[in-house]
Amino acid sequence: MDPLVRTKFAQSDVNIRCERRLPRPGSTTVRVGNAVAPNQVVARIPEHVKFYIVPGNELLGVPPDTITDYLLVDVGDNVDLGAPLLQKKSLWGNKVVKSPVAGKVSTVQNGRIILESTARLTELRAMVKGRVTGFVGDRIIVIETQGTLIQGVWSTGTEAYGPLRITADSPDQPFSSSSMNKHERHILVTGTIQDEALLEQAAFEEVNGIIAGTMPARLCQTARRLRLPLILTDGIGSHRMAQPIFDLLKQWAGHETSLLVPRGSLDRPDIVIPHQNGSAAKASPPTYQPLAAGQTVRLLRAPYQGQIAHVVQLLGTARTTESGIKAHGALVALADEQTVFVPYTNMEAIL
Amino acid sequence: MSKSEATPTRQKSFLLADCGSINTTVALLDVVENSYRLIAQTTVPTTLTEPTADLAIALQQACKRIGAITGRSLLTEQGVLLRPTRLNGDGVDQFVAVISAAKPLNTLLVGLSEEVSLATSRRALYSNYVREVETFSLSDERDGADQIEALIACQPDLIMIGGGTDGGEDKRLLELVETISLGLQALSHSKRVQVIYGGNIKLRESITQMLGEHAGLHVIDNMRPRLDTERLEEAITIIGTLYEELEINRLPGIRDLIDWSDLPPLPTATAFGAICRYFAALNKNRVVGVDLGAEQVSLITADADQLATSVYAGLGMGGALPHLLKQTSLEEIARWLPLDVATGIDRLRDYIYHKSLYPRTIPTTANELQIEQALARTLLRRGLQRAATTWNWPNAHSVPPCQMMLVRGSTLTGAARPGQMLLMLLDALQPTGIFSVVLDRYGLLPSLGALATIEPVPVIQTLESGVLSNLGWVVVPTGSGQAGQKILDVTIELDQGQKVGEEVEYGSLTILPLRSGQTAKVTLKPARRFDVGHGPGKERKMTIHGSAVGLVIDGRGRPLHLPEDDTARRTLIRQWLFDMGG
Repeated sequence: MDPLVRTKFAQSDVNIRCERRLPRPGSTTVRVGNAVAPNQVVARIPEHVKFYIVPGNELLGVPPDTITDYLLVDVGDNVDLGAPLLQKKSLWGNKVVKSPVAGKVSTVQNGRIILESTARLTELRAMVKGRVTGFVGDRIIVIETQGTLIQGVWSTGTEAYGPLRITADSPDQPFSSSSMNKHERHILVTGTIQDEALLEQAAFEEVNGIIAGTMPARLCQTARRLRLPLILTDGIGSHRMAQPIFDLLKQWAGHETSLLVPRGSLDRPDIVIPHQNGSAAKASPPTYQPLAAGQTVRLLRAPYQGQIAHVVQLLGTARTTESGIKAHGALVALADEQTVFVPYTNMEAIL
Repeated sequence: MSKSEATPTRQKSFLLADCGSINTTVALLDVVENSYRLIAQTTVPTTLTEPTADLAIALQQACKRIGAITGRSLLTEQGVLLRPTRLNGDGVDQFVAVISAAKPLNTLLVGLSEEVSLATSRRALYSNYVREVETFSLSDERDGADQIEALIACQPDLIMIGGGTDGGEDKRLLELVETISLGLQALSHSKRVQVIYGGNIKLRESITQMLGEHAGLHVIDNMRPRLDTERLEEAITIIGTLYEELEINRLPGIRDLIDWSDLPPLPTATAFGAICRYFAALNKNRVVGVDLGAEQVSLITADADQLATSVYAGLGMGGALPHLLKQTSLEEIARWLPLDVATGIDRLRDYIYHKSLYPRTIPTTANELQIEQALARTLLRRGLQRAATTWNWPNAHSVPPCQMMLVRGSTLTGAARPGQMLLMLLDALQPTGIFSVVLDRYGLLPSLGALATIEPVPVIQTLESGVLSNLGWVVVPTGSGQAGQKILDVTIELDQGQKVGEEVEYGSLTILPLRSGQTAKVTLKPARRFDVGHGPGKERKMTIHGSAVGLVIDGRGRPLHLPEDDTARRTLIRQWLFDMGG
């Protein structure tokens, strides 16, 4: 049987299924069949609320189990800031406990009143142009579109959309200050990012997002801290973006592009460029698929990390690598026409 | 191990699956010449990532591979496991799966004190795949409102409450539980949290009143009924059940596995613990289990009557790798490298992040192999330190003495040379005494542990058939000395009468090769202040069997001291590697 290798999807004219996931229960604002724009709100979700504990019995000086005798509100009531919650009448006047916050009475227990501050709603946007095709449970909205899909490998976890702008002449060109000139609100494409200050500048200049081949790990934390939408297509380090991916992105320069992040740590971020050209759309492939001779692959580990190659021959027996580890693999032809052995685990098929 | 005389009463065949977060390993066992054997084994990528998240896809792929290897179809045309075995030999009779691919249970730990109730709870908690996301105790300086917010923010799957001896009058735990009750009410619209209460039995009624309505409450016997008594079994069982219900049973595609099997899928660590205990009972001595996974490090000590499991989710050679940098520094990892990385510390960080994105990849250059093995040492060492704290081991730098070490995890079992595997274990876990090291080279041990719960004979026979790989015997004399000082005389007498003698010096690593199939009588005569198990200076004799490495005498002392000087340290690490065969 042919060996299974990881796939890296980078193709145009495909059906793309995007899941918009509600982090908590909320209310959706779209229906199946609705066309949606990237900035369209598809769901509203209450933010995590803050809680306030009012030690009612202590403030009134009464036993905890008598607190209900003094309550002016019920559980579930909305209260304004300063609204009276408890009142104790006595010969010397009324003692009133007021609400320290606008919100809702969450519960009353053991002499204490728990208030939830009024929940604000956050909005979940479509982030991609497409059509709502379904819901999975009460937390997932499925949006489908046709266009170009490129799977990345790492993201900051922040999503974005905007017109695609190629700022590099080649896939190994580093991101530079001039890359950002007058390109705020764009999704910028560059070969690599090597300079931390440029990430700060990109955030300051309100660049909508960045797509790069690679970036050193020391910059990953900075990019996350800045909440800068950023997807790496090839990995961590300083090697170039894979040429086929760079070429594909170049092909769609100027098009509205979405950077979408995965739900789980193992899932890869997606670059989605919606467009239609009337041809039959292909389905998305599995994460792993059988390898065959002639397949274009990207090599994932030293000494060939980042190189694009073509599979020449699948080998039936394991070979010993320079490290001494024996592995099953294939002979692949590199761009310089050298043929080398690479373990199956250390390559991904570019589809 | 002596040959079992038991023969299978029914000639059933078994398909075993070990579904990890990165790889799924499937093995077929059947009877050959009246005894169970491993017929075929294959490893495929686990299929839990979008867009095709479905555990069953990997299993189907593995079954097709085994079918291609053996010529025996295991699936129907619809991709369902063919059961029982057909007359033409296709199919299989029974299917057993173990799983470590599910995410850990996010757990909020509640107790009175760090040293007593929380420590006891942790010993039960780390028996399975859990992540401690928040802790409430009396030493917590936050007020109730902040604790409620913390509870909501950490979104626990499980809250584990312990504290107070049985019959004690201390009711301070109720104050914490009251806060939890309020938090659970607020959380109840989005999830129903499970709560285990294993504290003072006198508080049970109050706890039930406070929490019963807002959570799935499991009241168990007090885990620490008296200060000098600990009862963890019930808590461990409930945690295992909840892990299965809340995480394993929610994996995409798990229904197919459950339908195929007569036994619910077991957590891998539980099943590995069971097989460690089997070996401990068989050898009448302690066994240490070591599993360096992609998303967790597990250390197990099994005695005939006691099992101590420590699973540390979030430590591993896969996606979890960058988390290691929250617990240790790059410089600390680099201390295990024979390379000069002073100017390339960023490259080490890049390696860690890149590896986490491509966890199935293997190192193919010498430098990357050394980085990978330095990471393995650091991860195991972190696991050891945490286990030593969890279980109050007398030596925080060493695993407890044992007679056998069972080792799993592709970084360990797939090292380039057997000496490298042994050296990683000796450096990281720094064991003492005399013990053998056995590798689970086919990734079978946990699934055999699961099968043993229903069918022990096939397990015994399969183990006897040689599915494990004997890496070597290790002697680590205890005592301190000066470099170059003679600490041990070793004499090996082979079957054929040939004798080999060796003087072992303090600070050295010595290998006395003994090929597989050979048997030798070994006499160990330690110097006056050194001990090989029978007391200082006392001679010890034993018979050992040949293995991949042979007999290793680790005379480097405990704890290991790595020189502070970079050049000296790198030279020493290179020397150790050379001594162990490169």
